[in-house]
Amino acid sequence: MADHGKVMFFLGAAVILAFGWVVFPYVIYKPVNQPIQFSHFTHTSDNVGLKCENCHTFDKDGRFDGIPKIEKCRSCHLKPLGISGDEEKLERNYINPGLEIPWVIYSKQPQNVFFSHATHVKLAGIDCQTCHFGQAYTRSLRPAYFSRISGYSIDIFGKDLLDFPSTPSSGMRMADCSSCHHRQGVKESCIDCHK
Amino acid sequence: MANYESRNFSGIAEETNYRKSRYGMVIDVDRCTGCGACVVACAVENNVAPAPPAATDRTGITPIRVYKVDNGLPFPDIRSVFFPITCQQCEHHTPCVSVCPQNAVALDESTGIVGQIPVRCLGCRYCIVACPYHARYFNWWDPTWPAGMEKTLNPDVSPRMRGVVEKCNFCFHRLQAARSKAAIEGKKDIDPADYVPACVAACPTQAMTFGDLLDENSGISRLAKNANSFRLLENLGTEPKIYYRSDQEWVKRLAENDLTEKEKPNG
Amino acid sequence: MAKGITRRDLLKLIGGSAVGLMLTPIPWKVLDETAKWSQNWSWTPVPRNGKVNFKHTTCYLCPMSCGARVRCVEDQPVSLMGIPNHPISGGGLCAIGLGGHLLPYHPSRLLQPHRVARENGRIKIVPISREESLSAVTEAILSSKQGSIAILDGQPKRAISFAYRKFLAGLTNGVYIVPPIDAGVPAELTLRVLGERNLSIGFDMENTRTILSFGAPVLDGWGTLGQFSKIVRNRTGNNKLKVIQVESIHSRTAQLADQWVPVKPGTEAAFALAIANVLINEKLCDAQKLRTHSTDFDNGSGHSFLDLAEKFSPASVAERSGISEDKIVGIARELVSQPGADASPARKKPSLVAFGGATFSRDEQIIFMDLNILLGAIGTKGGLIPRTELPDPIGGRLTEETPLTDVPDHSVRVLILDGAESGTLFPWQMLEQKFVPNSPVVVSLSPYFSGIALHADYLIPSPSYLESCNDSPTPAGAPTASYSISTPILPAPKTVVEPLDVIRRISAATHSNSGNEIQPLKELFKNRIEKIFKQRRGFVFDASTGETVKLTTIYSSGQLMKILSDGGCWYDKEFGVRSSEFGVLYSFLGRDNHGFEKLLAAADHHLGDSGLVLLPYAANVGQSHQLMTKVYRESNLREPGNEASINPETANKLELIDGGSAVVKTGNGISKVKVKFDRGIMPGAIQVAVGPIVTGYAETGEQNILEVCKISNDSTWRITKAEIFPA
Repeated sequence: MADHGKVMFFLGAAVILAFGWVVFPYVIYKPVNQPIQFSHFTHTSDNVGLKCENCHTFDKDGRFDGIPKIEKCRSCHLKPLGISGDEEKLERNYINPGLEIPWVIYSKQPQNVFFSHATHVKLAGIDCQTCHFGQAYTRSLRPAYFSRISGYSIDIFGKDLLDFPSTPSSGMRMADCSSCHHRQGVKESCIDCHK
Repeated sequence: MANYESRNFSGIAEETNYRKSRYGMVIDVDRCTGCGACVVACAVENNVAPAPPAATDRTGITPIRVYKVDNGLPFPDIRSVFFPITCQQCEHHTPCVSVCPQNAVALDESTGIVGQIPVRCLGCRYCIVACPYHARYFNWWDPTWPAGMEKTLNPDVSPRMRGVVEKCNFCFHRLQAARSKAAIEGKKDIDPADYVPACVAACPTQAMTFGDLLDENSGISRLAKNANSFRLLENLGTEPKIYYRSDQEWVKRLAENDLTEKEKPNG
Repeated sequence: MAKGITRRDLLKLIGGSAVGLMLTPIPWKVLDETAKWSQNWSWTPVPRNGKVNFKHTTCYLCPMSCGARVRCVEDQPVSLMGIPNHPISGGGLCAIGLGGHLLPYHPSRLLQPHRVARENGRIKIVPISREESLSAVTEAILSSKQGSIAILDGQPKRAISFAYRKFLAGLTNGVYIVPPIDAGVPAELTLRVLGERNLSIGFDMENTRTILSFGAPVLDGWGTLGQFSKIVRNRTGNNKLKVIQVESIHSRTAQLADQWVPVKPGTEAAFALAIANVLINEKLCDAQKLRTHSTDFDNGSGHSFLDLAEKFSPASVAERSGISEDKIVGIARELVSQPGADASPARKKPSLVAFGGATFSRDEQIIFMDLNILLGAIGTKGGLIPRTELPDPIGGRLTEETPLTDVPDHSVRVLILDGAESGTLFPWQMLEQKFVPNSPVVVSLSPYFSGIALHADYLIPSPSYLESCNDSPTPAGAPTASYSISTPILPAPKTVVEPLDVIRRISAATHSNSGNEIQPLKELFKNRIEKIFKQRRGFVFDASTGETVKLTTIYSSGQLMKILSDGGCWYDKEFGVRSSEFGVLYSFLGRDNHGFEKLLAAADHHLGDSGLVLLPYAANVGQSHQLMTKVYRESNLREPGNEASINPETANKLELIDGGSAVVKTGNGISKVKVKFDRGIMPGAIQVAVGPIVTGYAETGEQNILEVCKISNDSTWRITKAEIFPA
């Protein structure tokens, strides 16, 4: 006689485990597409040869400007340079009317976090790719994923649902930043990173 | 009792990522006219909302608050001075740090700044009880600004929600900005002129001086050692980093009023 | 053979799911996310991040011309601060200036014209269109030939002030009114001591030894911010500046002064004459020089200044004023003493007499000015020094400036309140008595529904602070002439109305054409700047570099305009401060024969000892912004407008409770107040601030104690008999 009890038990566990590990990660995050499929590779490859700091600039007070404004795109793309549909969209919807492109930001930290790109890039000499791994060579922009409950980006709170501290390129939580700081021997204090 | 030895500031700073320092202030009470510019500048800089209709002077939020103190004489010999009180940035036995169950406030070893991180606070208000200077304030209400005014908030400071404690943080977000500015020039140490809290910058009579107490060359370490400088509640041993100074005898005597003549130790 | 699925099996299923759930990320992740969600309520604003840049302007919330550096994030002003090295402000900004960027969003800010409806003691404002509002005003003007059209200018001598005067000159019955508030030394007094029309008086406070102040808020904001800062800083160290404050009010300055002389209300002028008496009798002034430099100091007629001073011996004044004879003599001697017995002439610093202009009558002011002459403070370093006047930007025929007290009663039919932000420190009654009895119309051009705008019938708001053009001419009391302008930093809403558009519309309707010739404000600024440039004198401060250079190094007036448009300023060099051999004929008593009697009457004015006296005093002026809650309610650093400070002795006799409610009753009405015990208040006095009541998120309440003050025959309102009852 089969013991239905045990089977049921493990059936229940198995279903939930499958749901929890396979379905849940997709359900809890909402994908948001970028307005334009921008190809980093086209711009950074040998043809054009742009570096990160050509578009993602600092101002003289050390503030990081982040995603460039439409002037940056306009400085080259006033007239179409290629044949892609996305470039056409860029010209038609943004450059010509003079509107800012509503980029979706992957790595925006919550309000209470202070992160200084100047300290990490200029003083510590960390390469952009260390934290933004591979971004410079992508041919399209992946969708950004935001949590349906808290609204935080998956890039910040970690793709690794197990929440183990990982490298900054797969998560940018406090534990992720701290792990790198510990490896580098950087002493920490609340006021260095919070505001 | 004013412990005159303690004017030689005895904080011990650790060498960390940045040059060790102990940021402090000297406030010349003879120059303070109680104008309130520092209070408003602090509220603007730190996104402190205007008080709701029910707020009083006990429930409002004024990270810097100016108190009027008088010489105790009756009319017409009564005279007043004004004391701006911020978080006194205690160095030893920091009362609020020692009681916080959440580690929401910590004394930064590198700069001596007692930094309150409101997002970590759970709102037990134990620190408000512990602070002998009444320098901590609780967000009894959600901060609300009149329509449109939220556009004028400072992006360098995050607004707090209700239920958390906040206090003067010595505008350490300005220190962060000064560090970024130094970093872009490849320097580790900041230019002292780049880090001045909002209240000090706003004072029209320059009654407030800010700087590194450990820097022998700075004006503030000299001012702190001046014979007319004193700190509040020195006998508690909190070693605050805010000094006050006055040439007026009655003001200095007021600061010493916590021990009778008999109980004063020698010296 | 399988059994059926039992309830037990189902329970086992659920059990298994529960255990499995614990091993999935679901509960931990959901808890985490919910915790984050609960800390990010949608109504807690998130400041917008973006590009930071700095702009410069000149604050015009009061006439003191402080430079302001505006920190903008994505072109939105988020904070204001002073401009370091600014020659007029000394690099500072006051509590009101620091919150000025909040004013465009103030709940009292008007975004379009309104009509004011008053029913059952309640005020309601009804939005109307631009066209409706302008038609209403022109209709009111054209409806009758009786009565005058008047403009009350809160900050005279701006470019727009000249525009108003030109426009009014084109009307048959235009009047340009300047308010009776502290705008420095009135022109008439200047004429008396300097003898010239094209000069005004400044105070060289940097080099003063002792300031004898009659009610002037010397330590609470007097003169420019730079001067105020210098006064405060010069009070420490060697050779320090002394402040002797003579007033009945326990004001901020009285609290901080070296000596507070709490004279009985009304006896200030008598006190001044007692000082003069001592100076003359103890030969502490150069009587011979004064005789030769005036016709009425001592002319043997029995009606000269000497004779006036004789009537006010220290002994007789001691009784009236409540200040002992010894003290009076001591102060007089103090005013002429110098550090060190034989201080060289170069190190000698004069003393000067300052007075708060708003609360004293013209005759009392004459007495104070005469005391300055006696002290030799006219035209000397450290005393009262002459300044040039700024050029007229518009030219042509201009209506005269009429002080409010000189406007005939019952003569004004339409009153336009210019939107100057300097606040209202005089009783509305003083304006009310000038209105014609039938249907006067009041129009307010202020961007805010506050202050005297609360009495208006039509509100035609101009652009708010930071949204409009304005110029800041020489501040009252500043040592030299100066000029700065402000240009818009924020775009103004399309529904507000430029004041000059209102003027042009009225001009067209009345066919006067005087308004049509008025150029836009920026052009007027340009004219003025060109004229200043042509004078080739003075210095220019450039806010973007923080440096001051001689005007002669600026190569064109266009460049000067550019510098001034970005928060810079021009200031004159000192106008030939001559030695005490100032070759002018002083006028002590006035050329008309009534001078002597008038001054005698003015000085003899004092209140008997019966009853309580209501003493209003000015706290911070100007449109208060929301953050003033920090100063008024959240810290009671400043007394709000609905708080009455009383001496505990007096209060206990009247059975008042500290912190309790009360009602102040005067012959003019009642006012609800909160009682505050204060040991510094003169017994028998009720002190109430003319200040805001900053209530909360939504309002800056206005309760103006001046509404219940009595205006005496000499047009002052500083003393009112009053009663107070617990409520």
